[in-house]
Amino acid sequence: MIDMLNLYLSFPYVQRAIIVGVLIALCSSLLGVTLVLKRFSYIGDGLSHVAFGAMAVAGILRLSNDMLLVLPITMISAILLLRSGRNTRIKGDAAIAMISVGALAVGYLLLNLFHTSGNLSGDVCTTLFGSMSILTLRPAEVWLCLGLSIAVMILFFVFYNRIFAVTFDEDFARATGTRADAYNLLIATVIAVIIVMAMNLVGSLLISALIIFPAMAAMRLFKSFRSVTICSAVLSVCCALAGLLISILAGTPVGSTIVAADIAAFLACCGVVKLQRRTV
Amino acid sequence: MAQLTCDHLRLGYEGRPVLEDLSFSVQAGDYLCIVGENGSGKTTLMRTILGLQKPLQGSIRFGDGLREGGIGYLPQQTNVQKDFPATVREVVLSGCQARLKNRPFYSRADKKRAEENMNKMGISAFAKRCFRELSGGQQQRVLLARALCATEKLLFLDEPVSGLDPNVTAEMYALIRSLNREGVTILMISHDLASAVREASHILAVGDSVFYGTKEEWLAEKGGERL
Amino acid sequence: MKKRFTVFLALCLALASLSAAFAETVSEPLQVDLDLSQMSGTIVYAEVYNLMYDPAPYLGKVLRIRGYYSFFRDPVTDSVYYACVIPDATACCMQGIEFVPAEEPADPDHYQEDSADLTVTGRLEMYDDNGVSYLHLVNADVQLNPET
Repeated sequence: MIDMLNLYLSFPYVQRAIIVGVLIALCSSLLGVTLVLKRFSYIGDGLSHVAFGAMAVAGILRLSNDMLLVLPITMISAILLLRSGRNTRIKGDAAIAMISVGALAVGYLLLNLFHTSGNLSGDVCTTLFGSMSILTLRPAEVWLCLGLSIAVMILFFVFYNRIFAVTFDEDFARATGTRADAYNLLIATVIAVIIVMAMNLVGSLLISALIIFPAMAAMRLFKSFRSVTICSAVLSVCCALAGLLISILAGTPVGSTIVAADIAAFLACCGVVKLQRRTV
Repeated sequence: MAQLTCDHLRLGYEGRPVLEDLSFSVQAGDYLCIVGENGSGKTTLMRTILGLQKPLQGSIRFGDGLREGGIGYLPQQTNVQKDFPATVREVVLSGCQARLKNRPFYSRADKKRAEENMNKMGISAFAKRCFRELSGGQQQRVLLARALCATEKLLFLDEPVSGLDPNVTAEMYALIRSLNREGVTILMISHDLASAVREASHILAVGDSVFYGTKEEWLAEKGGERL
Repeated sequence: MKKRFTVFLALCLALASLSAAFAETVSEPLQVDLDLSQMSGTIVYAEVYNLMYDPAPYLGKVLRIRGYYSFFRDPVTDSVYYACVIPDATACCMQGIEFVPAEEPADPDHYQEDSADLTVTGRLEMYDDNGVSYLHLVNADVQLNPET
């Protein structure tokens, strides 16, 4: 098995997949806490469906690099969803449901009407569950992912204190002169970027899992925002790495294997907390 | 010159006014209690003064060294995130937000300021504890320390004692009183009229009939009347 | 001198024909460059995808693949195509590679059972059909895998 692993690791596309996969996992875990606590999870879910619709359109247009179309569409939707979500809570939820389910349906319909490649169900499956896309990235996509994930990390690092303040107590931040709207916009845009990248790793249906599980697991173990952020990044990277290696060795689908690893990590963290309580 | 002057304010949401023609001013060192029934516009007034929403009409002017955004604010406990993973130090330090200007990280001076305010509020012992694991009274002290990081001049407290037991309530009032003696202007929303009259120097009552004046004027006009 | 040279030439020819005949009967084992039959489904999918997308680095290499037999006869040109369809982990992204058996099948329509489990070894080449490029494995050695 070690021989096989060595052989696989010598393939350049496997090396690329591991580098890009780890970076995507790292980025998606950073904003997990914010997403969960700001009740932005629903935006993340809605956006992943929008990204599916955009991907379908990109496929029909036969774009060589579909991320160039999917990225701006998802970012614009993020901003629109944020706006509609704030005005009135219930109406906002309905708007998100309409946009996300609508994008899913129209995307699939368009794919059916205009699909150009021979394997429709294969394409749909790849977009929804990521399947193997991370292993078949073209060099341009690899560079785009690298650039975007580095940008996400720098933004998070630079605005760490503001993101904390806006997440913990938006009114206080606003009252003391922080432009909370601008930071909400930044957070939504970064979420859109993460979702578009994570589609390559786990597919659009499983993105929320990649963002939420590491954060929830870390929140069980740690008490400070900083250690929760670091822990969730470490967990997410480890799970992505483990999931990728298991899937290439055992031939399981990449996306769901990574998410399964995330779920296992979450359950393990719950177990650790239970044990601690019992011994204390 | 007054720190805060409200001039013929009309307040409300989406064009629907809840408060009309409200004028009052706050001098440095005042202790103003805002009382009124639920729905009378106390919270709307607070949000407007904090700059979270715009007045429908009229103006709010800041003076005497106070700028917009220079108000420290203690939110109602129900508005604070319940599951947030943050230590006491992280929460208090986030009060230095406005001091960041364009820097990404807190300076040594900011951290020192946070330490001092934690000492003042008697919460230094919990600095590394998780905010969500503290009792209600301890959480209020943490949020008060955060508010003090944002200002030395004016604190706006939104029902600071709601949900606290009588002992902790008394401690909280004593703490606010000592801050006021140090020269911090206090604006406090309360629906406990008796303590408001006992603690404050000025009373602003909003609702069907609006009153603004010193505690003595209030007592002379209303006597021991209950709200 | 001239005689000697003729003898030498004849000897060489004989040797060459002998070795050729020998090679034909024993069929020396092909040097397989890429053995996909031994790899995990995930890797197989990625390799085949890369191969279809950018075949240049793979051309001329000997590939071994495992999958299901599929047969197609073009009703217009009456040419026959044999293919090996490779299933993948998610069972939704199957890909097939066409192959040309080393020995011309006697009965093309019944060369193998439909969906038979095959291991095909052959050299990857590109060919042109009416202006469209296709990939296939030529001179392919086809083995029927025992049912498990």
